[in-house]
Amino acid sequence: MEITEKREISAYAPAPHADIASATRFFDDAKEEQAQRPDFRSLLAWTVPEGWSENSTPDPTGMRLIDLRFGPAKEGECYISLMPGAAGGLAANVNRWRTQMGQAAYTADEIAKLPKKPFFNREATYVAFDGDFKGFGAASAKKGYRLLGIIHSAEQATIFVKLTGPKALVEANSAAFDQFCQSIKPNLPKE
Amino acid sequence: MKFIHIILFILATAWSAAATTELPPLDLLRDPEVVKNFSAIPVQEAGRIKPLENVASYRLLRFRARRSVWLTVSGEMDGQPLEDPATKKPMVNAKGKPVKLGAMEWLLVSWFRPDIAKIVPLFKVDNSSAISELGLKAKAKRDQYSFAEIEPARDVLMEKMGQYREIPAKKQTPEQRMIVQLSANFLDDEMITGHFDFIRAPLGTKTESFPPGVEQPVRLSKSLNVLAHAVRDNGGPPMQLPWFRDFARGALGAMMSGNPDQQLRIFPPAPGGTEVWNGPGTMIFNAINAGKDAEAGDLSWLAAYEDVYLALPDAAKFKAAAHALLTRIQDAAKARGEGRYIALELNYIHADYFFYAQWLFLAGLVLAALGVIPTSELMTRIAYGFICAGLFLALLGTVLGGIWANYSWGRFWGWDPKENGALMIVLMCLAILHARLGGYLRETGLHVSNVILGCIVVFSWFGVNQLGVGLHAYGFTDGTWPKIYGYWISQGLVLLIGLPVVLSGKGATQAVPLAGLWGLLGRKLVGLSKILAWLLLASATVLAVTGVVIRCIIMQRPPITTLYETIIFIGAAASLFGLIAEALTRRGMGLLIAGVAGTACMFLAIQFEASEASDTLHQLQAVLMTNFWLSTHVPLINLGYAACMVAALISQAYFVFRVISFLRSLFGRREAQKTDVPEVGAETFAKS
Amino acid sequence: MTSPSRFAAKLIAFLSSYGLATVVLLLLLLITFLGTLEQAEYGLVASQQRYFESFFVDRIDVGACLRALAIADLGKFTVPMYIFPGGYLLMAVLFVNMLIGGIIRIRKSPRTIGVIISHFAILFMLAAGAVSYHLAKEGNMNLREGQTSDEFLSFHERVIEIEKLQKDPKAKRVAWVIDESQYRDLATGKGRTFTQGELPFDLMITGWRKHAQPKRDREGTRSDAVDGYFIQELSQLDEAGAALADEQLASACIAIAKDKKSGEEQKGILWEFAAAPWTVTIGGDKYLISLVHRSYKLPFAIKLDKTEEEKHPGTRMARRFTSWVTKLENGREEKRVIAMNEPVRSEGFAVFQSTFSAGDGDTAGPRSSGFMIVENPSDHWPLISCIIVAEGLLLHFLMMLARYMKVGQWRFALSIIGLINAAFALAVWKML
Repeated sequence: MEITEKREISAYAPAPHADIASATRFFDDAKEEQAQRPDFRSLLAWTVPEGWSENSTPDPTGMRLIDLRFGPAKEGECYISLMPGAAGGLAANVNRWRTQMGQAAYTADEIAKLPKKPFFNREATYVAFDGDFKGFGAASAKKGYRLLGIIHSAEQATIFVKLTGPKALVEANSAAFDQFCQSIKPNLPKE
Repeated sequence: MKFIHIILFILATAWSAAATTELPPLDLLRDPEVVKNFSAIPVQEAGRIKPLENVASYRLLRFRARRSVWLTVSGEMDGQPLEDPATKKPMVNAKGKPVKLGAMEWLLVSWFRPDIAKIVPLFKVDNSSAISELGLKAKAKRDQYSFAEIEPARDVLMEKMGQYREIPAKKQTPEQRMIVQLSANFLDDEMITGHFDFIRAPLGTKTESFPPGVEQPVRLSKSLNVLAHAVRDNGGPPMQLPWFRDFARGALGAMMSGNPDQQLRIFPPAPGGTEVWNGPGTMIFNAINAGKDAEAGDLSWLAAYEDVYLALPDAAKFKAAAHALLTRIQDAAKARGEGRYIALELNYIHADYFFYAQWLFLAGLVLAALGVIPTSELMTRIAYGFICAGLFLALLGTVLGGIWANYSWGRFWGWDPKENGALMIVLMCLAILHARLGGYLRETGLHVSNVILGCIVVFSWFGVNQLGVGLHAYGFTDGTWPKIYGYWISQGLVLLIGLPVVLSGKGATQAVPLAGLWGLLGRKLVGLSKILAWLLLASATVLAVTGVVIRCIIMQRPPITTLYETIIFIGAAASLFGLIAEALTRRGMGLLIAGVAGTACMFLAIQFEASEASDTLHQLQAVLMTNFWLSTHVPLINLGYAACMVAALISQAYFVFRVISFLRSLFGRREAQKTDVPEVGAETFAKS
Repeated sequence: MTSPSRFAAKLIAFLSSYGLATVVLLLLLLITFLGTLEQAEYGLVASQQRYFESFFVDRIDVGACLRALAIADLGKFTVPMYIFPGGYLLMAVLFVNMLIGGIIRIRKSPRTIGVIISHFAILFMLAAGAVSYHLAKEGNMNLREGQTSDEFLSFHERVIEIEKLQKDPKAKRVAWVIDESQYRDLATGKGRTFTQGELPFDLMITGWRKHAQPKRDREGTRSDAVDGYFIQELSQLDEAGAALADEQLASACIAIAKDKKSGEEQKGILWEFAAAPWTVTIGGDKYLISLVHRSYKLPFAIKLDKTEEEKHPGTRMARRFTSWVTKLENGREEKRVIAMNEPVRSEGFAVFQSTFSAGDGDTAGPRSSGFMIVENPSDHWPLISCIIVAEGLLLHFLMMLARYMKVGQWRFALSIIGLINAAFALAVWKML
């Protein structure tokens, strides 16, 4: 059959794209990496250390980007959270953690002296202390716990990485914690 | 965004009973002065300003399909009086009889005496297996349950709601639909009874954990910004703040509905600013979410609102504070040029035009039936006249609909089901007229065709919405098909019985002098009854038309956007038609038409109002307010439906009349004299 | 009288008869009923084509009709019906019947004047329908803020387009077009070759499906796979069993390009929803082949400057969508505002605001507007016809009523018509 109809394509029409692979043409390539949880979670990328696993039940507050567990009875807990803005400032946050561990608040001086670790191409405040951990909503404190934490404040957001668990377990996993913190990268949107 | 998560979390956990320290007596909340005061408060809901009583009415109507509730165990007039949880005495009036709460009284009791409101049988459940599914003890198949009765199954209810809401509405089983509906109502009622929690105890009882700078006792009108700062400055999730849960829960109650379109918006903004009114709940949520402080002007609204609650239980102070709030809102609304029709709407709610019109129509119908002397020739002529009128109106209405579509989205005719329904009516009218002109239809044929026309009208009016496609689908009205089929079958029976009689040439075709019982009454009495019928029907029509017009003014749109409104409109129009026809012919038929159409439509409308039970804005209404073509198309097409329906009614009457006069000729005069006064107008033809 | 003229007289008598009118009207009523019922499962466009635009209805799906009426589910139950007249034929017959019987041969008297006027108006309306059916173009154009276009896409008409990729990005672009009617019948096993002298290859189309999606051939075992994908046919019904709208259907087919010189074949899948065209390379040239909605050109370009949505206060319910656009033509610029229910008409085209997207949130994302564009020569005819039919019917029925009431028919009818016209004019003046 002869093709007889011909039309001019407008100068405003989008530029043509040639040699596009079938997978792209049929939207098949993007499907597999599409995350189930969008929101903040898609802003960051990380590598989960060996032996750690994601908590099977979602956390009640919905604030955690990822909620990890480790240890023989999964008693070790580590999560990333992200708050917009300064989130109340460094001192308030460190001292909130101090309170949870049943410790007295740091003075401004002590806060200023806290060690730093490289994070996100810049640096973040690192805290580590022992105590009896009483998390949000918990009825009683868990004795002999240790807390590791990193707080990184940028202009738009503050990122927290917090790890808690029985002291021995935490110490065994402190290298993994560092490695986990290092692996956290901004997840740049793909074109 | 994050706040939403937290709200969902809170919704998923049980509400703690708020501390109730100083309870106002029930009588204060039923005091006519108090009720009147609160009824008149202007509120913005579903895009318009309406009296608070209207909000109360529609909430109650949605919960229990009535506008009132009795404080009895059964929720009905004849039940055992409920016991006041505070005084442990039965709640009865001065005569010791049970107390009935109107919608506004119910809302006040829910607000200020949640302990009573929670034991009132409130939720109508049409399907007791839904209750069993929740693990509760079911009462009768159709019964009413109080908040307190449902509360133990709250967790199950929330979980099931989550599951069932995912199922498309059409695929839900009746139980699932019932549970989704019940859970929505339950949550709404939870927010209504918790409405003043944000004043009672805004942060709960753990005073030691309150942020610094919060004055005690806590008043949000003073401390809202401090609290909002505390939430914003808190590094971790706000749920870590010990007082936050109570705070957020109070804010939810202050909102009064989970549906954003139905939140309580009661504080008019300053003139010239935003169109959206503020409310206690929105104010609290905005303070936390928006990241900027609530303004002093807004907080003073909150203070005025708090004053009302805090004045309790002192009756005089309470009345004064409530009145001050009312005047302040009225003045602010007036300054914005809004709320002009509040008084009119209150009057409309209380006058209950359609309810009274229904009984007047019925009385008029009975009286009119006494005075009718129809002949088959007259009936044929009038039916023919209505077909002509129906054709004219339906044709124009249909074409105007096309013009509307053409000027609104460029398509004159889209073969949409609703359009096709209207077209079918037009085609049937045209076919009838041409067949009659061609001599194919004589008297009997015309009436048979009219009965079929009536079936088409019913299909176009109710059926096409059920097909589930098209722009005009108003949403599904459950179980409409059985009603449509019921009508079709009844029409089939009319023809099945009537046609053989008519074709055999039996049954009177001439006007017969009044006989039987009516003969005994005497001509004078019949004449008198005709005059009375005129009076009754005319005043009923006036009532119905007034109601329609007022509704139109209040809503600021043509009165035909929901099924309820459409039925009322058709009823009013058809009775008007009937009266005009009567004025022209003076044979009693017009009165009968007015009576039948009026009674039937008012009765139907009142049924539908309960089942619709929403006063929300639909897409069609949004367009209807702005478009001339649409607002001429809808009334015309509905008038066309009404005229065709009247023609069908006359033809039904024709058959019934012929059959009954045939029966009478069989059994003779003696039998007829024994017949009781007929209930349905059409049957009186037998006596003529 | 000769026999042919007697036959002609009989024919004219038949064509102008009340009987024919009644039968045609009743048949129209019947196909309207059936066509409406079938929409539930076949969708509006398909049932419109089958019942209302056809000469003959090819079959009636009784099963689907009964399901739509919620009477019974008989499964698949269709009745073949090639002789049952369709909407087009019926309306054509009605036109002839009305013209001869209702205007030419009707007795002219005061009693029939209203009827004649109305018949004339309805003829005009049927003519408007025919003109718009044959000549109107309609489609949509989606623009993001800042974007410009002078083409719109048909809602329902699909085509295959072949474009030669130009080396110079500024060169004039052209595309060869194959209408869907030329390949719609090519289900699996059927194929047709399309040729064009200017193209270095012949294009064969096969395996066409109305609604489908390319799926990856994971096992690599399918014989119909092309480049690792095969065409998976999809149901045209949604979960609830209702027909999907025509716009939601994505047709697909297999295309085979055969080099005219070497005879070498290249195979690709064309899919309506594909992100990009299929590329055929012959020698050093590339050709883009795609299955798309038919494009129409506007004589002017539209640039979307700004678009906004207004809501009813305190609700999420849209009150109004408004778009501020610039009309560009031969270097001239004109600012126009298009809003819901307030289209802009220009040079025979009407542009309607049909959809609005605020991007991701209320503030974020590029906002975009969807416009519906219609070119219809008979645009205003229905309105004119409606006014005439209203006057005609009013005159007729009022005169009938006057005779029944035994009052002066002209005076009665004309004074009431005058009154109604005045009221209508007032309403138009107040509300439009």
